[in-house]
Amino acid sequence: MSFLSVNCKKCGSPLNISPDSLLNICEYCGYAYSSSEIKDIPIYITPSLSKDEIIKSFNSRMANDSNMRNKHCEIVEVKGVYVPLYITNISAYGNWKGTRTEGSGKYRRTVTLTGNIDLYCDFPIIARKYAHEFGLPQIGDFIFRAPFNNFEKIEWQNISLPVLSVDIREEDSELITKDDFVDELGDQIKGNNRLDKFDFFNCKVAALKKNILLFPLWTVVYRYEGGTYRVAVEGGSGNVISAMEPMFNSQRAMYFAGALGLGAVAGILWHIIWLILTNSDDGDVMKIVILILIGMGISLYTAFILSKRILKSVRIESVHNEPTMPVWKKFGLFR
Amino acid sequence: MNLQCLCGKNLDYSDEIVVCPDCGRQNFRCSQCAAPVSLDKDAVAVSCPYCSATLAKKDLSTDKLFFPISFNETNAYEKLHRFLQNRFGIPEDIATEYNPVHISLIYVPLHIYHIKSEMTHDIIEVDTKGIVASNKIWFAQNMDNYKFAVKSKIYYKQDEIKGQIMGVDFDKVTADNRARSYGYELSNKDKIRFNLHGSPNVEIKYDGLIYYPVYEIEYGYKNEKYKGIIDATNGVAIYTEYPMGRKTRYTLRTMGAAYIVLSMIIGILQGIFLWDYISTLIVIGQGIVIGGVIISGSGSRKKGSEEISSSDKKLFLSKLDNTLFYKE
Repeated sequence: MSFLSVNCKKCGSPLNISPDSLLNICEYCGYAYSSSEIKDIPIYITPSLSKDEIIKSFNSRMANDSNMRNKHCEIVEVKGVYVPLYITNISAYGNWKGTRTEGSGKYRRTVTLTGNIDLYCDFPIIARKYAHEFGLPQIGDFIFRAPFNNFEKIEWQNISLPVLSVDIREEDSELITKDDFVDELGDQIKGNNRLDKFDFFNCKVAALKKNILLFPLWTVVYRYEGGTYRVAVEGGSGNVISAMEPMFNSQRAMYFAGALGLGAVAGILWHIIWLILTNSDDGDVMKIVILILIGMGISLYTAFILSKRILKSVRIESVHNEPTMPVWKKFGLFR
Repeated sequence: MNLQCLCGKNLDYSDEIVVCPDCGRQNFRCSQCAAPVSLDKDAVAVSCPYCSATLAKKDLSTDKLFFPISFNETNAYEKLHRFLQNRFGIPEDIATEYNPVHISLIYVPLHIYHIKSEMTHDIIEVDTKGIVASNKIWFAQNMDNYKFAVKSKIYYKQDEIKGQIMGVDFDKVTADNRARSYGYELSNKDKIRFNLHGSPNVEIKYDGLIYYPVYEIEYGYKNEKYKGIIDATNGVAIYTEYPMGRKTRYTLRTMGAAYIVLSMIIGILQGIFLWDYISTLIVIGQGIVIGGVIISGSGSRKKGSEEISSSDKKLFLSKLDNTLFYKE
């Protein structure tokens, strides 16, 4: 046996411990073993719903999904874990300056915006360097919505699940928290103010009090026509946060038709450019031509993306989609 | 003073390691916190589960760190088989024709680094990176971007490890350079995000050489052999090859050819109605490219890896002014 095993001090049950783990919880009685490195950090827990309630959420989601309703899915496995999170009180202050472009043609202008940063909040990070639980990044918002309790005051037997170990040290967690927080703040300021770029971004972050929160995450593995797929359900309120689904032939056909249609659109856009160029001498016309050329490029690129999707094995639907940059921003267009 | 072994046997403990006569485990008390520690009979050192102190035998003759495996060879074949079943185009008879040929447990040497890349005092990126230190594994490139679960290290004597241990081909200087290179790449997103220029200040901290276990699997389907690499600590399919069924291949080739033909028809019709043959060329050109992409997906041998999330991605938060514990 590769993992070190000892007996729980409280109930005597076998306790499988990872040697580098900073926090181990007895699966049977809930007794918490904290390494000396984190013994001063309070531990809280979001009590998990029961397995039956999770299955009910899964079934409800599948029954209401436009692709999966009326499809016979067989549940293969349902398992839940508590994911450990460092939640740090953050105090951030500073200021920023950025620019965005407004208007078009001869009314186009660059607008400079400034703002102050003065924020107090709780910021979570996963207390593990790497974890491969499906749907894990999607639990972010749900951490703040479900009720939680002090770990010492709960009835463990009613809500017990395996607890993933903590393997990020407290000192490392502060650095990671500041890194992630500044990145997130920058993205949100840019998005909320529709900035094209920052001229400067100055933000001082102080990490104040730290807490550990154990948050429940369930994975339901289901089988459909020989393939197995996963659905992630957050165990605090029972919301389905990410679902892997098979790619159906009807969807492949849609991508096929979409790509073909966009290819035809690219040809029509070229024709419009040709008409403009041959029938107008106006200098401002070049700007319109450039815009249409850009539109043509976007059509062709999107057609290419859709054609790649025809070959995918699965689709993943999440409550938060990956923050992908729109195509025009990726190429620095439409500034 | 008494000490109880994991198997339940009571042992007389003085001040040395006591080997349990029933199960062979090594039992002793942590020199830092006096907690009871019960250790596998082959291990020579371990981190105390209570206070994380590293405890070692006095005659420690090795400093090699090995990660424990979480499941056996049979489970590894099953994990690969389960992963294959939802691949697009997998033949319908894969369940019956899947034939395990060979499996080997390989310990891949990794130089582990903590990397900090600082563009400004307030804008930093941190990461832990494993640099594959062997030239002789064919899947080294696939592991280059893989996020290793860096935890649960146990020290073992090398000759007691049941698996092939790959040698170290890159010295630490080469690994340092690669880690530093990765540190520069880490800040690329911040440069775009915050419109910063110049190079970051990269600090690397070497955390040692560890041996990470993976299963290299070879399986047969009909008369062909395919390979797969499964992470032996968590079952993730790092890389797999798999066959594509004949029916799907023909469908994709037909679909690709249909796309090219339809694009030609649309292009020609556009040319006739709009009197614009450049437009025809654009539509036919994109048809050939995209039809080619679809046909290229109809190869008999495909490659893939597992689509699951890893926690190197940040938690998605729709807003930042959340409070859970903080009260104004």
